[in-house]
Amino acid sequence: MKSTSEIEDASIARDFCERRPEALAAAYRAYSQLLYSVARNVLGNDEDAEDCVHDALTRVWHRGFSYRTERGTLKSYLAVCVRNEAISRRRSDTRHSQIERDAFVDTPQSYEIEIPDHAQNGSLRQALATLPEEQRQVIELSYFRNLTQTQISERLGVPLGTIKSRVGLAMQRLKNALRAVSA
Amino acid sequence: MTHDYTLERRDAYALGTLSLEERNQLDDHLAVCASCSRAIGEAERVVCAMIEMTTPLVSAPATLESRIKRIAEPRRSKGPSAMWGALAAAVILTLGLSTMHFREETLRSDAVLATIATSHFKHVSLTSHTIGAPPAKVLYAPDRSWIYLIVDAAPCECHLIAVYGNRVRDFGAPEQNDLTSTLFIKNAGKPASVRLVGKSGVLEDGALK
Repeated sequence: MKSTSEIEDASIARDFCERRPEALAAAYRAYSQLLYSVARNVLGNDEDAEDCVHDALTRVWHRGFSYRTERGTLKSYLAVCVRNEAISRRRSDTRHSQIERDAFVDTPQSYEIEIPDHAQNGSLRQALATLPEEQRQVIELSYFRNLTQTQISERLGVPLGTIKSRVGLAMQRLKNALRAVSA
Repeated sequence: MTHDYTLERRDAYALGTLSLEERNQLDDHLAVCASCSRAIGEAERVVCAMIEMTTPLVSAPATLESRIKRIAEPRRSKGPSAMWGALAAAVILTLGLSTMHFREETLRSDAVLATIATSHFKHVSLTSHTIGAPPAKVLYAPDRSWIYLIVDAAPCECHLIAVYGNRVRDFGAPEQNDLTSTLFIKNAGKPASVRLVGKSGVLEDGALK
């Protein structure tokens, strides 16, 4: 049986697909804290985070039809859109370029994925913790340090195809962990 | 765009390691392909779970909600306030793509329009140096490859001058669109700043950072 929250999410998603004018604001209200927080987390300041969420939702809304219910939850779709927008901004922002270079050069050789105490998703946490070292490396560098796969390849001295393969294997394990939860 | 191409990149898409151009290509395919949408959705679910697991939550500022509401508002009646109210993409998409004045490459290409409309971009309000100078704003690509001037006056008897170090280039006068004047420069050549110049000299200017 679906929870009230799931029913509300489905209703918002349906309105969003139909591009009802009020749907964007409704989606924002439902997920504002998550969307703003992910932008704030990547960009590191309030002003850029606000512009990022605004521009990401502008792009999503005016591009139209890239979200469909088959894709999964609207929340996941919007969270990833905002995060991608934030990462693009960070990459293109010269203020961050030195930080990126420093991270690229000075990244320690251990790849411990730091999961804060507030983390709730036990099965995903466990799946991340039990990834093979080489898969944990690529997830750490791509998700937590926002490096491109080419940068990861150069950083680790491993062919790009191998990096892609490791990312695919790691993501498959994480997908399986989430599937097991919802099964 | 094929299923294989999309599926190969689904994880990179969700993890944010694709370029904007690659993401746009995938989005075009996803809009028409249910099976690839499902595959991307699975990867997005993982990344969203990671976001929820690792991101400290903070409240969004109250001002943001009103900005978001304006994105999907129906086109307003034309007037000076509409230009300032619907910043950035809303301006491009609702006020002017079909009527904007093209210079340089005057071909009206849907691909070009789509690229602009789906780019993220910056904006600057020009600083006035003359009493009575009309408010003006410039939207521009982060790499300053294109710029779009909007002047809150019509007609606007001025020229847009782009400044490149010690070199300048005159792109001419913006064209009247109802109550505003606009000028789109597709290949702007990465100017460091722009000036609006009237008969009396520099009316206003702004740096493109």
